[in-house]
Amino acid sequence: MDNNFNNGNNMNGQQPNYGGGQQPQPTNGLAIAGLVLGLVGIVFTLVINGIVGIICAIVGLVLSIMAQKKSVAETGQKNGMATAGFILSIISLVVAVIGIIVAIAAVACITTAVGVGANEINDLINSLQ
Amino acid sequence: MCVNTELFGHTVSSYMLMVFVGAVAANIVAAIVLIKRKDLDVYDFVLTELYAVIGGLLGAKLLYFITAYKYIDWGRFFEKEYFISLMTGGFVMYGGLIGAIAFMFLAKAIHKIDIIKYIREFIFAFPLAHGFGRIGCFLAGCCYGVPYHGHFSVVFPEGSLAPAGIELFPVQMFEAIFLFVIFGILLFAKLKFSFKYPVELYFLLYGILRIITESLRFDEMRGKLLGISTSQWISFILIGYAIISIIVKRRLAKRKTA
Repeated sequence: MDNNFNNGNNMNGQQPNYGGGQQPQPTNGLAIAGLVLGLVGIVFTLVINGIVGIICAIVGLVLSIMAQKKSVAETGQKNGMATAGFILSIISLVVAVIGIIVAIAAVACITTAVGVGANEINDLINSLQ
Repeated sequence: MCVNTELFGHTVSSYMLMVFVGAVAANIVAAIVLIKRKDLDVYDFVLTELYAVIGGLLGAKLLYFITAYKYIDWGRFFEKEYFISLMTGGFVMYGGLIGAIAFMFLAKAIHKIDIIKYIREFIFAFPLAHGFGRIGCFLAGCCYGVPYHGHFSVVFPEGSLAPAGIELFPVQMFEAIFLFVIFGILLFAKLKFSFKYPVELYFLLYGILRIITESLRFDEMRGKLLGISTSQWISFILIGYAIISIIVKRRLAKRKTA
């Protein structure tokens, strides 16, 4: 009597489909990086350094968007991690900008020519400190 | 008029607050347009806007350095407080426009985005945000107008960037009002007529406005060449580009249909 050890293969030599129909999403390094930078951006913005927070948020945003576009192009599906990184980076960016506006209680001027020299703006900053 | 504003217990720069409000307003209107259009991608829009803002800030600052280089104490450039004051004060709008366009082409090269489509669709956002920025200029007292005694003349208080106690023309509010009008025209033309030349229309309208407002401004340190300011020269170039672009595009369209 032969023991038909077919190593789990069916009669046609194929692996049986044990799970559901969907394939797991491939790991997307860009999405992970985007999510991490989005998180780091929020932490830096709120606690440590707004400028570093902004830089992390900008890079996180770009990486999350690149990850999302790559995921949609390759699998037709959005990547949850990329979506989370996108949202966190946007929040971090907005909070950082608000923080900078509050921190710089000085006059900024968009003009073709500054009516008052930078020295006078510097004096204003000194008087506020 | 009001250099700083008290907001929720914090003192904020009125100018930067207005810039922020303008950015929020422009994004809200843009989001409404974005939601209705299936052929526009929110991620491409965000990327394009991000690159435009970064390029805009860098370009505006660079053109300020070029036009005001004689008035900057370069020996103190690396002093912390002087550096901060230089970075937070002094931006040239046209430098921002050129920088934004340059960085959007960078986004096109890196991320393969059809930026021309997004510029055409959302050009109305520029004058809307810019108008709020001009209100910020009025509050801060920068970009002030010529001495003027008449209706709507304004006197800035001590502490603002404008000379105090002198009646001046409110050129900042004048420009802000017309920027909002330009925003309305661009949005109306887009929604009602699917106007084919939105960028050219913006260049035409804003170029004319800027040529007028430049002659009504009295703030110092304006780059000039042959008696014409830097911004007026750029305005002439943009108006010329707009007219030529419309003519060329119409001729090409006629050839295609013939």
